[in-house]
Amino acid sequence: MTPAGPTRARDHLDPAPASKPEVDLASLLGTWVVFESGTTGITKVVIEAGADAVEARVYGSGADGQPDWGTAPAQVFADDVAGSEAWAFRSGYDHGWQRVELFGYLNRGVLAVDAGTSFIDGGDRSDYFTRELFYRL
Amino acid sequence: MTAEQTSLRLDDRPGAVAPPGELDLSGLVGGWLNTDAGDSGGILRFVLAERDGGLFVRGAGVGGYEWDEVEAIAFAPTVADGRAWAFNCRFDFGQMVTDVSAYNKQGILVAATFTSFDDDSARSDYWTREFFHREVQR
Repeated sequence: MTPAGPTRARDHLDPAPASKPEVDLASLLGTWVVFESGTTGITKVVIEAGADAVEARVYGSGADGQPDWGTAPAQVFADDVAGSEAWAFRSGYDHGWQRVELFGYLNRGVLAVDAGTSFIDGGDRSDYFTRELFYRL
Repeated sequence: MTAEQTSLRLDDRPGAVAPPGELDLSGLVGGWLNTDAGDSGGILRFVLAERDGGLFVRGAGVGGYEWDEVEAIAFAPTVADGRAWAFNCRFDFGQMVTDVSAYNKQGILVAATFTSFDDDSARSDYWTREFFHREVQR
């Protein structure tokens, strides 16, 4: 398979390594808790390395606690084409009536998580986007 | 609406007043130029357009790469709001994909990109965060 052509200058590898770097997940794995107490959004994100893949588990917010959304596969990203340390992840949930796309990235030890929520229930709620900040337990 | 449909986050609860149908996209539509003018070697420009109530995004990578237009999902800040402030979209280049998660913060478009490769190159999937200001028409 031929390499995908570049779409911007930083897609180029210079110098090109012999093989794809192993990405160290340590910076991303663990339990991340939202800074804002009493948040009405996502309260906790757990990122774990399974046997074959990385998984995210998200906890929401409710009147009676923190609803567990279950686990979803998470794709991990370095900060450069030659990077070997995990800096970001992407995951998503399809709840049937609502889809949530999660994009998380580290910034000086803080995990920022963008959540884009789309409703597919035919109701009159606007699709909405939140950004929340988390610290690691 | 079932109980489940409001139970995952308190943010999901409908507002007292329903939003006015389609989102107002004016806070996003237009040309956006990277504040680093391309020094990072990443994305130089986004151009966002509205058609038939939908949001469409074109990109340009540093080095003269033009990215074909894709449809985006526009987002309000809350379920009750009628003005868009953020979007997600995906550029599929075949053997690589770039997902964009972006929001307009006080007039600056903050865009996180997540690029993954499905080829034999030795490149790591990578993430960036870039900042864009509105392009001034001269």
